[in-house]
Amino acid sequence: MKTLYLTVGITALLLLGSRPAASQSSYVEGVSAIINAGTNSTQIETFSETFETADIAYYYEAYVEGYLYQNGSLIADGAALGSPYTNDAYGYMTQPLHVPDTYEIQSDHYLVAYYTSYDPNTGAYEYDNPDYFTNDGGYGGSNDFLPGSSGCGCYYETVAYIFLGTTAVQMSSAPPTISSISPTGVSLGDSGTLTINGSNLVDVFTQTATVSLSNSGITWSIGSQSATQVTINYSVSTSATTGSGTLTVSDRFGSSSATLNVGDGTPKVTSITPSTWNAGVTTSVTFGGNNFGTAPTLSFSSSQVTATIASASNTQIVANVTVATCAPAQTVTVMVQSHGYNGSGFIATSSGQSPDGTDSATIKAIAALAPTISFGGKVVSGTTTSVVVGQQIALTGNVPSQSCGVASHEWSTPTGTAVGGATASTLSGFSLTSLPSNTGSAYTFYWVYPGSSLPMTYKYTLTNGEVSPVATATFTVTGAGSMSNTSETSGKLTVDNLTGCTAQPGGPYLVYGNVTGPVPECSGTTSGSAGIVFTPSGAPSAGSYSYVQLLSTDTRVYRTATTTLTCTTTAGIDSSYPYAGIRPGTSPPKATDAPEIPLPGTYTTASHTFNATMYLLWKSNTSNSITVPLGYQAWQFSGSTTQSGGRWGTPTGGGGPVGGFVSSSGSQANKGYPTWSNKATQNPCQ
Amino acid sequence: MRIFRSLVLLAGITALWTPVSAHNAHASFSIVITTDNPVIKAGSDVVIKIRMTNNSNHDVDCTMAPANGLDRKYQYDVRDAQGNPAAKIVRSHPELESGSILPCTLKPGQSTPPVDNSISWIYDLTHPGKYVVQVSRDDPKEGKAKSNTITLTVKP
Repeated sequence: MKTLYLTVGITALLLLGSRPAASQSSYVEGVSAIINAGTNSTQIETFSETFETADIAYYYEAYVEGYLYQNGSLIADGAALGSPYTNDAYGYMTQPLHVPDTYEIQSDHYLVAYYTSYDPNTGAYEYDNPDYFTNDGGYGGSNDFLPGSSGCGCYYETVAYIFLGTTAVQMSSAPPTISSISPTGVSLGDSGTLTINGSNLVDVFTQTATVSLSNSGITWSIGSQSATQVTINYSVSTSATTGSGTLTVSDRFGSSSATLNVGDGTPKVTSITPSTWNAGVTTSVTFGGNNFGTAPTLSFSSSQVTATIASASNTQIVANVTVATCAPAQTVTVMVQSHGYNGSGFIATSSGQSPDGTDSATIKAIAALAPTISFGGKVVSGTTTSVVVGQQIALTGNVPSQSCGVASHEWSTPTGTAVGGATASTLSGFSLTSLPSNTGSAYTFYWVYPGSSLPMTYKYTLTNGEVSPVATATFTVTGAGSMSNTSETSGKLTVDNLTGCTAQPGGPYLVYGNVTGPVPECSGTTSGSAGIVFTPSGAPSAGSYSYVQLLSTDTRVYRTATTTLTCTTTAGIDSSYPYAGIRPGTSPPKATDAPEIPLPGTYTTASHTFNATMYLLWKSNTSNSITVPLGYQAWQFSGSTTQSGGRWGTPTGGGGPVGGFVSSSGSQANKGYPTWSNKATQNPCQ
Repeated sequence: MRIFRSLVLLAGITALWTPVSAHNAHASFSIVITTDNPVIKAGSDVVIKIRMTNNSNHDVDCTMAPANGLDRKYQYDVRDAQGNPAAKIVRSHPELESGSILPCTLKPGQSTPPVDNSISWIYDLTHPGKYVVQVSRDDPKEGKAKSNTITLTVKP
């Protein structure tokens, strides 16, 4: 019921059915009201009243008019006048009610004014009860007035309605409407606040919401309530009826419902103790949380983790968790899956609700043990090993026996100049092999040049991803020395008469050196001195020297009195690889050369210009070694001779080394190895 | 000739480039030839290795006279599959061919290292086919020795 109060003259408030004590003794009040007890979904009862205190009632009579509107249209009215000496004029109206129309009761309040009369009998004016005058007789006051006539019994009466004002109250009969509830589901064993949104959610008279739930096992109370929002504090027992239920808000005009699902709550894992698990170990782990249900299960994001549940409750699981031996270090997601409370499986409270609660734990992997490096059948990691240039460095990474296998290996790249191999042929020169892949359990390479404290490191990675400590082996690589050169003819050229044979006649040759014996095409013992002799030295250990001679210039010029014939040679390797001109019986082997040109009698002069570079190579006797370059020596000669009277004269010119011995180095082309792509061959003379 | 052809054929079938025999009837040394590449692409250099061994109880001369990748102290015999001598390359002014003279002595039982010799310097081996190679050395004091034969295949 809604009321609107009007006070006149003297203030007063009144609640329908229980008037408050007036703060002052005299007042008039107006009331418009809709009666709680008489209003429901089929009828409306209104009340209109003008009330005055008794003292005022001696002079004024209360009067009220009531107007009832439905959606703005007048559907009923009425009026009431207080009886004489009665200070209260009121009336009720009852009309059918149509939900959800809006109703308004308006009340106009009046006081009926004094009656003023002249009593001819007394010759005085009297103030009497207006009602008395109206009825002209009866009781109270003077009642002996005679009907008015000229000269006697005349009286005057005045009736005035004094309008005090209008009171009104409006009421909507719209029933409650739920627009949404949140959450739409509640979980067994859970408690919280549910919010109902909508309109007309509370009774217009009591301002309280009437809420009901169809599901058993839920206790609740209203937290707050207004026409547009009602909150409910609920608690769901673990034995509550699950499934789709109905939440209803109702009042006298109707009701509205929403579906409220009651099901199992999503498990929540709040603690894992311990939260770090060692690979290869079974650990007793306590998983704390809620909404686990009565028979939860455990699972993990890694297949390398398994668990056996020892005990389980709605809030705790104790399980023996086993981590596979070779599980990598990782963060594992732990999933607790609820299967409900009632043995009927997990019942979701909302669509898409997960029955899983997750948290994470850490797996500590098995560490990789320290490896060692073997070389030549011995462990050399942590030591310094002496080797020689070109020696095969075949290293093996030794992995200690352990639970997990090896996934990969890694060797460091050798410092200094190193190759994966080196081969050579007469026709194509040296071919160097790149360093091998460094991801095998073994690593083989060759240092070409000396070096000290050259580290090689090895480490491996287990299948669990753990990287081992690094093993380091240190090497000192010793070089193989150098070479010197001499000339057995003091750098002079000679004209040597060589003997012939059946196939080839003998004759004179211009030789850088001095030899005796047959011409080149004839067999037989040759002896004498070489124009240049190379002598190596400094080999650190058993091994063999060899040579490569690269010819850059070999020009012969023959002249007669009228013609000149020039013969050149294409640069390339001289003779073969390795250089064949090793002096017999020398150790270390000496390389010699005694270039010659024939001196046919048809020419009068002959000259020979020769430039070459002799490379010194060495190969250790240790198995599988490769040949390495040690250095080179450029050398040359140039000389000529003239024929006179059938005899060739003493040659002019000479030769010897050009510069000194140059040690090979990795910064040189082809890492210091001699390079050639063809053998030196003589071009047609012209 | 028939016997020779049979020998050549036998060598080709049974041994290819491996030593078969050395003909050292009256020589105090022997010669073995080998090759790393029994199949050669036409136009490529054809290289054989010559290794000389002193089979006597005294020093034997092994002087080398290399020129153009070939030791002129040896005589080279290259024949086609029919036993016909392979064509030799004709060069101008052969009398002006120069090189080096490298004295060498083999002690009893010693051998020279296998030394590469480019027989394609003197023989035209640009035509596909099989070729039989034999090397000999004639020493006035030590006698004449013939090497084994090897068969080389020149492919297009």
